[in-house]
Amino acid sequence: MQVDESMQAALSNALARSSWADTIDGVKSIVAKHLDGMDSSATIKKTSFFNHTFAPDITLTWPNAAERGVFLRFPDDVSYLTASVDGDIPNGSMVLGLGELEQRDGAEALASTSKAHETLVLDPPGIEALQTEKKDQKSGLPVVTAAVARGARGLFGRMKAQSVASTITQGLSGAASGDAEKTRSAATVTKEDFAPRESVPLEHLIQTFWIAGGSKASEYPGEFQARAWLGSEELRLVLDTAEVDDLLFWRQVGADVTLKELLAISSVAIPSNLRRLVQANVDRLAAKAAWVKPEQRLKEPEEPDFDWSLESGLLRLAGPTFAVYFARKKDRFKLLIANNKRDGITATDLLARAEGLGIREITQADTRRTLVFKTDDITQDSATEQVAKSFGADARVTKAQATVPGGTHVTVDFEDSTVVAVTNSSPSVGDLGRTAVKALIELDADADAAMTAFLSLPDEIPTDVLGGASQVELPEMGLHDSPEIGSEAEPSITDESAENTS
Amino acid sequence: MELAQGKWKDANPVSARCAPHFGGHRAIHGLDSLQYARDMFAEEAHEAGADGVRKAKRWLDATTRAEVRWIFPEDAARDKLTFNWIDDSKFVFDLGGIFSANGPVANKTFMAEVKNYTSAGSQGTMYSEYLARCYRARVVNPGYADHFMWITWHPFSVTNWSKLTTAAEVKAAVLQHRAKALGIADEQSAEAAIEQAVCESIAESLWLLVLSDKHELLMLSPDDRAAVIAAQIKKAS
Repeated sequence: MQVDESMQAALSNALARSSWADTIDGVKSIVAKHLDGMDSSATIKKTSFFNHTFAPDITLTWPNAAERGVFLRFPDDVSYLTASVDGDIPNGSMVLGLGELEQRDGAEALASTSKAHETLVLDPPGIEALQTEKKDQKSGLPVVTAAVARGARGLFGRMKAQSVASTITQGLSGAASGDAEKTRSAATVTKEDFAPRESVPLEHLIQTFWIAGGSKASEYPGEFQARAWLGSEELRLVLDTAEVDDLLFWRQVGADVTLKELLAISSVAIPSNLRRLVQANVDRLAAKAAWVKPEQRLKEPEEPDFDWSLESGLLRLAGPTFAVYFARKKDRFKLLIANNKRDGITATDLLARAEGLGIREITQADTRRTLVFKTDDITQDSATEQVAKSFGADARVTKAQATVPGGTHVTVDFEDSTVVAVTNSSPSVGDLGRTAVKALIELDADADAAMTAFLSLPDEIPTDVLGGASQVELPEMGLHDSPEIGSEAEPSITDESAENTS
Repeated sequence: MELAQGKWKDANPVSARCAPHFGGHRAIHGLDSLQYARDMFAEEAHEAGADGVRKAKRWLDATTRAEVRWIFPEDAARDKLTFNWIDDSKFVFDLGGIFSANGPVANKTFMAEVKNYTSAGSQGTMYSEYLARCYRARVVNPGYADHFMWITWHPFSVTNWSKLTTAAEVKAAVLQHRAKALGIADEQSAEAAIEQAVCESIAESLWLLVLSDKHELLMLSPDDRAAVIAAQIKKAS
């Protein structure tokens, strides 16, 4: 958030208004704007109260976290404020001083009292210290400031806020590079200055960076949490924390990531991180279904020819002349299919693009008749063309059974523009995407080669970190070693296959 | 704790931030701060006074029917609670707030004088000036304070108690303090100048509250209070 006028100056102007209502509305609007700057994921609501002994002026809520009341307080008498935190304001609240507090007499007692009550006391310089650096979305600071809004405790003036922010952001980058000292400092700060509800996920994030950076859990400078696996919230934190261009890092992160966790994230703050995560795990991030849409992509010159993104709860692969959407179930495409119904394609067109798709069964139909033709590979069987010609010019291939490179059988539906796995396993998005585009989009040789190259594992991923379709061996107790991971991942595959009907 | 009197000396007490629509409620640049301080009630400069104001705020807020938004001597509250006598000297109420959004006084504003006394002291004398202040405040800005409270921990003028909130008492007080309230020295002229309707409206808006420390035992429990506040927030959203 861009702060043009200092918060203190803006508050002073608002407080100088003659009308009580105008004053209060002005003060609350300024505070709400700065709170939004700390954590844009929070829902911020102004209450009808102002400077009330027991009732918050503003409430902060999050989808998966407890509500935090924000109490506005004048800074005149710090001891009075301390007594209020000690006796009247609910534990875990946020108190926002409408003037500087950190340098005032009694600030030390206020800091210790608020910490004991898991209450965060902020003053305007403290908020601004957290927001000034937020201009750099890729520094990791946004995650820290959001964590402060959710669960920091104690007095956060300018000095404290700067110290906490820099220690944790440096600790995250330090963890990714195996710097034990910076990692230890960050871990200590998370324990000291955050209530457990926030310190646990924060330290988990540090540990994720530590492991994903290639360090061993046994060498972590602190207490390693046994359940250090990635849920969607943790994954969102990793994606949004800081830009990491090391594909090996994302390969390690991806060891535990399934499409379920990925699709639970509505959007990401640093798109390049998502792109690298999928690229580095294109061989093992599994999807059940893909829907293909022909489209001429309008892109800026600096944008890559191919890109991964999240859109409407789907994983999207954008190419020069198409977009592919990936989901865990074909049902997710119901509306898209209904609005984009196509005719099938001619057998001749199919044969022109079927090389390497392992198509062993096609369904042809015209207005009256349907014929299912099975063989080992339609491109290798001279009868395919004859059968197609026997139908006449109106005949279209509506479906085909193909085999993706990993061996999974899929149904290509030319009317629905979908490719859906028909076996109990789900193919990788790389294999599924390649088959879907080749079967459903007309590509020339260069475009085919470019698409195939993009959907292959990057050269930066050495063979010694390649695991099976869903396993990467990490040294000692890595992220994937938690027994909960396997037991969580397997049922999700079974559930999906049970619903597999194309 | 810093004395309120000291704060007034160096803090440009009612600066250009003063509400322009307050009539005589103007900046006091150049005003002798000692004179200004003397014009305040004596205990405004003492910690006991501040404690009383905070106790009163806490009790009023705990009723869940009233909300104290401004308390003296917090800096931001000064120009919200300060008025001018006709000679441009200042007087200030101890706290100001608003009643909750239900009941007969819903959303009405109030200002209060707080006496954290353990004896009657000189409350009778001060109450008279307080009534003159109420009159002046209502005349200067009729819509600014709908109700006036006198909150004390010890009764006073008990033989005259039932008359303390009458229009006649208000009129008598204004007459007594006519020089500052009306700017008229002559008693007969002052009496003719007093607006009876204003005296009556003030009498109707006077609250005389005698609290005791035991009142705090009658407050809602924290859990019950939190439930009421949560319901109020939900209802207002």
